[in-house]
Amino acid sequence: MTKNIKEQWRQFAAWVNGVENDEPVVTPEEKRAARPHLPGFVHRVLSEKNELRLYHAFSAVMCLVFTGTLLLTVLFLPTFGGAGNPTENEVMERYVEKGIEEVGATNLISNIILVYRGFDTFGESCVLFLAATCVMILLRKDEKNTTAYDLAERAEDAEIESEENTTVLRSVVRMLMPVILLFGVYVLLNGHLSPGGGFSGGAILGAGLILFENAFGLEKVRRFMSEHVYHIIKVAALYFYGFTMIYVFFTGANDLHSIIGTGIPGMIFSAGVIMPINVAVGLEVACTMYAFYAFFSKGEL
Amino acid sequence: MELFTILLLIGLVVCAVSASLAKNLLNTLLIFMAFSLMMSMIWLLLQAPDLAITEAAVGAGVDTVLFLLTLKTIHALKGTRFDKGHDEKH
Repeated sequence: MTKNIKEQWRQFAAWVNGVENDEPVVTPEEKRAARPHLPGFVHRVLSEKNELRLYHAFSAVMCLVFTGTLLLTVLFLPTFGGAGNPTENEVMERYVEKGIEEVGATNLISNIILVYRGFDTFGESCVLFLAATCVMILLRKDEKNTTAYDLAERAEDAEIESEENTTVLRSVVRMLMPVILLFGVYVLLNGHLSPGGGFSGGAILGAGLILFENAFGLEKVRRFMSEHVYHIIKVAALYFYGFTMIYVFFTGANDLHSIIGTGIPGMIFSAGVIMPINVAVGLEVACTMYAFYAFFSKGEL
Repeated sequence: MELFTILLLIGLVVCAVSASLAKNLLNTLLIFMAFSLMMSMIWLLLQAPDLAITEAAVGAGVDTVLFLLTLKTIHALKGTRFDKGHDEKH
């Protein structure tokens, strides 16, 4: 009885894992050739099964060591919300009490991220931009790094895609697309009033664009999001962010009067630089997300 | 609400373990997506809605798409039309 259940479970697991029942037959010579990384004597002592077991044991030990180290570190952390914690200082109090008055955004997080800690965020954005640029350089396919194999593969993908019946996907996307884009724009524009902000809103917009591309293909997206438009948005948003932050840093550090007011807290046009910066960051993120996807799957925008 | 939180936390652990034990990479990916979704709900319960939105959009959405594309590029999607098996490069 138990054996029967075990067998059924094995079949079920194989089905879940997509493993075929007919394992290919391997000769000893092929086995020897399949493990060229081992020197001859180790190969004789260590069977293939035992080698695999050795790796498993080693990875389990590594896992346990890492988990143990991390858990040990957690033991030495200060208690959550304790009164004597290093984070409980006058900085936090000031953020909470004076944040709305000094910066004007009712969402305290965006106050802290974009104004109080604006310098850190700006540095982080530069790092992210650099990383994204490097990925683009690596993923980009043009006539210099496209092989015949890539072309054949892309043609095959295009053929499969043209034969696919995507009626359901298209109808659903047609209904969902306006809602997703509207929600993304809402999160972007209300970053200083409600949860959200540039990065989250941009990610939602980017995800929406990816969905649209999946349903309707690259040609339809190119109507409003070609490589030219992508470059313009990316560079313009980055320059806008940079120059705004330079102005804010300059006036703030020198105690000069800034022409950017705080406005009435809670209104959509308030909180000074936060909303424009959110929009710039959001556009940047949306473009980058979509470009990642497009470069990765098609090698072009 | 406390019960819900505990269920979510248990789900997190189950997802984390099963994602590392699943043999098919596509399954790992889907389990990871479920992990992100649960994580975003936990962020919401911890009163961090900003993080919850980002986690749902990036962790569950865009990350999964990029991982899927990676698997497709290296022909590791078993059992789909992108599994080209012994297709040799060049």
